[in-house]
Amino acid sequence: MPRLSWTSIILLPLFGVVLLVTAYPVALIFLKSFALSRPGQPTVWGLQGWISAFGDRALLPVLANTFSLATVRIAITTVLALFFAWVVARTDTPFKGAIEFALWLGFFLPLLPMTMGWILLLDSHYGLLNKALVKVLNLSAAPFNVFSYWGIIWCHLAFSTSVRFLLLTPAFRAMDAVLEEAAQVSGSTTLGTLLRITIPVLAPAVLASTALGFIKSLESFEIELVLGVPAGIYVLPTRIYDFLHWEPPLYGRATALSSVFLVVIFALVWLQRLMLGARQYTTVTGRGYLVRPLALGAWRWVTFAICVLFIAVMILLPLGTLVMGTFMEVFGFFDLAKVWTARHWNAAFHDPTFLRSLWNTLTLGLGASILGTLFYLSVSYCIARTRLPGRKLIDLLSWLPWALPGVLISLAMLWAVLGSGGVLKPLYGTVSLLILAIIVKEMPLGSQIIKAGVLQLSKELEEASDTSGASWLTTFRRILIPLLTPTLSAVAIITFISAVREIPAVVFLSTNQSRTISLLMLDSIAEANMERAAIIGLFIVFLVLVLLLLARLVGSGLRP
Amino acid sequence: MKNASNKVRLYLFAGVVAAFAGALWFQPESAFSQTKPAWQERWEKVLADAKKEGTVVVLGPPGDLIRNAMTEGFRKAYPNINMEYSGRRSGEQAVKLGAERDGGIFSADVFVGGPTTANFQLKPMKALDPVRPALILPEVADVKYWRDNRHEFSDTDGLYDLVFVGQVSAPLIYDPRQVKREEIDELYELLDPKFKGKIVINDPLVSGAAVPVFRFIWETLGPQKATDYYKRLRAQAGAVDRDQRRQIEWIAQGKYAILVAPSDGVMAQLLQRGIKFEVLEDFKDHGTYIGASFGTAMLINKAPHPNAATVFLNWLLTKEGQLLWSKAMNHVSRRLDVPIDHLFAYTIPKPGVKYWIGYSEKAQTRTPEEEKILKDLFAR
Repeated sequence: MPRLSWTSIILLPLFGVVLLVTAYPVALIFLKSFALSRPGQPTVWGLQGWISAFGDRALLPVLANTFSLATVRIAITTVLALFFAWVVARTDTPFKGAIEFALWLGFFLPLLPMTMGWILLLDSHYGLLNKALVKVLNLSAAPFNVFSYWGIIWCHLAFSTSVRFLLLTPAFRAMDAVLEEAAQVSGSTTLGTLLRITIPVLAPAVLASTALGFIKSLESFEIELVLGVPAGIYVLPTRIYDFLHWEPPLYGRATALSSVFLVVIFALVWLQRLMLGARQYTTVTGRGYLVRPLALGAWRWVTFAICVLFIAVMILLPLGTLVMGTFMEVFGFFDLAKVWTARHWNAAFHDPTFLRSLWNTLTLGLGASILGTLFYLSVSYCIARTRLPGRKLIDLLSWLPWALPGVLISLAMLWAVLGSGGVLKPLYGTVSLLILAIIVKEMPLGSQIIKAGVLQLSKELEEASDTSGASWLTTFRRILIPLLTPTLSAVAIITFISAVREIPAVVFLSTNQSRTISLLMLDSIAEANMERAAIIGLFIVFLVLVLLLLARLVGSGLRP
Repeated sequence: MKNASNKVRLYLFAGVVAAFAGALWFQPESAFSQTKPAWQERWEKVLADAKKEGTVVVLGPPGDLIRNAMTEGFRKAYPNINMEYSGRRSGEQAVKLGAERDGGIFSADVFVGGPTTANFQLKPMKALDPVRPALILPEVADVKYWRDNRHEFSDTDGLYDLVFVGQVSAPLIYDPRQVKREEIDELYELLDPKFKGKIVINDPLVSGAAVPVFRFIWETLGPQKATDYYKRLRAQAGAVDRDQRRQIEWIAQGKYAILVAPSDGVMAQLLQRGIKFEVLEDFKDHGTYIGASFGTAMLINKAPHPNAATVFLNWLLTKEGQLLWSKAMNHVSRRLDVPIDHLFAYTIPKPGVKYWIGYSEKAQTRTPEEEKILKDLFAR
């Protein structure tokens, strides 16, 4: 027990920090949603904002659209992500490395510009792919319309599948192949083994990624705004977006509507606990484990072909269109006097604030990914490995940042920091505050995925280390962290990407001195210069890829 | 005797003149400076104090064109005063400013943005100082340089929000391959059944160009007729959209024939880049309105650099500052001496034509009745 107490002394302050950075800002913004008075007037409290938000008769179809789109998307992407993670991590499919790289690319690519690529291909009036199909197949009308329910789902597929692939692959990799081999020896088919052994054993990771994916799907608004509004398909986030962009912004109503997400989060956390129950999901034990890939025989070329088809259609085709579009005077206009130009590229990199923004972006990305991953690891360890009182509450609190859209997180942090009476105020105007905002925003993803990773590890590994006389810190450093490295790397990379391209969560917290490249992108969007915005988005992808390669080189250089 | 006395008078007069001239000649320099106009003395003092402050913090519209135009232009004019320009949507700027002030941080000096923010956020927040006392340079303070011989303010008090942009806002654009100008140059012609499904409406339920266009229709027709008009126009629409660029592109690509309430800024940018569509600058029967877009200026009170703020405000309102603004934003300045040859003709107000003023505090306020009918028609 004294050792537990010692751990408690180290970890208890962490609980305080989680409470401070999640519950406090969220509570603050929910409290302010009841304020009726206009700025500068004495505060009057009431329910008017909530009544206006929920009294809208159009809300029911909006909710129906929101849940329907999220459910269909999550069903499709779960199947696809499980398949790709299995192919890459558990089979002998050829060129697995390239497939994994391409799927990561799908996650890095900027959503809004990629949607522009799809519009240019699939618009029912001028879409290039539609025109080609009409001509080749001699059709009377365009076969596809991107401004539709299925258009929205289609444009989401690459990103949503990629992010879930990223979250699931480490768990697949950390699974002992003995279980699968035992199933096959007992006469199970490859598909049967996948469905009856692999996926159920990985339940914590699958459920965590499904819950995270579902909430993210509910909150998604960029594609819905671009494709849904002209088709008359409204979802809850676009309604919240309306309130946030009203003049003056109606933050109270936006917060009120966001409470729907809070209810969904609570329900999902409860469901997750119910489904996982008290069962054990350890896949990595002290016996040493086998990672030999499953031999698919001739089928490996089928799995390879499916992966190539997905990557070519869902990622490379719109990406190619997008890159082409950045060299056009106006994206998608082929009948101008001067169609092609490099001036958007010149202008994007000749902004006088570019270098300072680049430096801020790198500081933000590296700071958030390193500090964030360490923080999420500590939180996850507390939840999964200790018996500290209140750990279930911390588990619940770690989901809270996703109860609010990024802009409201940013506003809540602004109020919390400026109202802290000098404790945190010095952070205002620095990149440190942006780092804090990103760490808070990505906490649900980071802590839940690492928690799922920790649950995969058998406690006997730590007990063996303990028996051998190693301190808790040594066990943590030399046993836990090395085994969790693939999961930690995935979380670090996702946090890095989120940090470098995030706009809403940092919009209120940045100043001239702490402006990032993503905010330069916002400048271009504000001027309706989507070509330049796309270039900045592509530059961010390039930046991430260079850093990943560097990290890989450094990693392999350090390896004995 | 008479000659002698005349000579004495002459000498006396010459002596007095010489003494006076000598006295003038040997006056210390400070006496000359008293002859400087009051404005100049004040300007020199403000400028000297502004240099000591060293910085001016300006909150303005987003976009790198306007950011670079303002920072580089001001740096050339006043190299000793550093400008920190922060560009965001006006509503967000005001929320951030309010939070900063509540937290005891007073970081901003000047606010340049839309009149809605000025009247419905910053003024109630009591964050503004009167502008007139800060107008020092004669070419700024003298109303003869400004349209209608006056400084225009959007707030009803005429104190806080100086309007320096006033341009004609086109109520619609169209595709000339599908529609002839004479078919749509009257308000009610848009309701012709032949246009059913061919019209895109810029969504009036979110902030943007559609808000003043629908206000203009409401005020021009009156509540009863406008209610009926809104209903019939909504029934004509093939799409209601919010993407201000895409809806213009739809017209240029022939997907729809008419766009109601296009965004001035995006329209100008796309026209400059060679996209083809036609602009209806006003309705033959009901005219159109004058808007200010982001072109209004305010002084933030309790500013950290009040003198630098005064220097910036005066510079912005000079011919030079206004030309830079006009070129970056495609806005028509209210200054009469600012060239307009770089602007599209449809944006320039025509002499003698009466326009509805869309930027005033009163004009921006929707009635509850109008709010309800728009929600009923456009909220889904």
